[in-house]
Amino acid sequence: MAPSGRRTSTSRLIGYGAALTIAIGTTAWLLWNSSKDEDKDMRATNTSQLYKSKCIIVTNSASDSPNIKWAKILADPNVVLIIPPKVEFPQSAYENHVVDSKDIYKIIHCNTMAGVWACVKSLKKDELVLNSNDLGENVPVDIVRYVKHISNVEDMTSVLDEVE
Amino acid sequence: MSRLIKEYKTINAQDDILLFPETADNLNNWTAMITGPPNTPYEGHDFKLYISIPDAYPNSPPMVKFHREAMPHVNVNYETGEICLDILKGEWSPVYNLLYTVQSIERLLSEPNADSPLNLELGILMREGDKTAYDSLVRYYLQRQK
Amino acid sequence: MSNVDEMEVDQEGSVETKKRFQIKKWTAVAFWSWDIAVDNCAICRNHIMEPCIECQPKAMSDTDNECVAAWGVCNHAFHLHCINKWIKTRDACPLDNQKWQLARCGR
Repeated sequence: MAPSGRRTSTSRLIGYGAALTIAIGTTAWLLWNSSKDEDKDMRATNTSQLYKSKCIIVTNSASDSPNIKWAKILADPNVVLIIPPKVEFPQSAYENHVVDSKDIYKIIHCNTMAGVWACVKSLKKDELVLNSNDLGENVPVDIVRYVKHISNVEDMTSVLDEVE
Repeated sequence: MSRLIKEYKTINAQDDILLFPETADNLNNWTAMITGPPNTPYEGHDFKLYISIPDAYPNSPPMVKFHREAMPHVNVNYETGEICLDILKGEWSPVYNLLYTVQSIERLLSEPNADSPLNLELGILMREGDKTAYDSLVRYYLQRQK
Repeated sequence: MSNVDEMEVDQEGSVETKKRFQIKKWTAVAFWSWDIAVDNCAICRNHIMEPCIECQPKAMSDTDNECVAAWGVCNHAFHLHCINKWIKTRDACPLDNQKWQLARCGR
């Protein structure tokens, strides 16, 4: 009588413990899920700002645009610019020492397109910003393994304005 | 082991290579400082090398590596600092010593070897002949650390 | 020779004249070196005719120890102990990377 009584209360304890663990676990999971949803909302409204580091392939449409403030973009420590072959980085950016000499290293010049993609893969920034039509080349399929997000836009000012 | 003592005593101060054991009692671990050779993107930068001596030395090569995430180079694993150099592996000879080893690594900075890349993307840049991109990218990594 | 005769004559003539110098002791110093092109074992950096770096600490007590030099067919020489240890790793002369073939041993 006594032993079986002890066994019953022990198994009851185990049952309570299991139920409590499940309850805590479920609550935690629900909380985490809801915070994820918040993240998703944020992402929908403000894509670029969430990706901390950027790799920007500068093509002629961007370098010709007067609206892009390169100096400010380059001041960000997490930004790097890639200049493909046959693209001139805008002279206006260098004029009046607008681009700080200490930021010049963030401008990577390439003589070949293969070089451009190798740099993108090496840098592994969160976001790749480019205009593939202007570039004249499609993004290689394996690039998605090296960056979290690709912003392939016709008008780079839309993406780059947010950097300010 | 005694050969290490000989090396310790005979190391002359080279202009741009510093090589010394961690302590005078512990000749199993050495440190070296090398300078980026002129006319390379490494010029103007100094690099630390960590050297550890196996028991079989000098019949086995010393184990040498850069500090992690400090050396962007075709023959160096950027994340670990591991170096791919023939004399550190199959081409080692007991007639080499620590000074020669460190000098060889310094030479590697001006003579990267595209055939045995530990840094895939820099290897691609070398094989594509895109020296501009290679130099730019190396400078980016070096400057970023500062 | 005629000078010597003169001196002797002087001595006989005047007992007071002292000898200018007298050799009290003669110590000869000679330099020698092995008639050999190689001087250091490139593996342990000791002189090839001295014991190798492993035998060196015991050289005084262990007089039976034969730490000899070994010549390869390439005419490079190392201590026998040193080269034997190396060829376990790679059977090649450490200086020219040719296959190691022992030509002769000894001093």
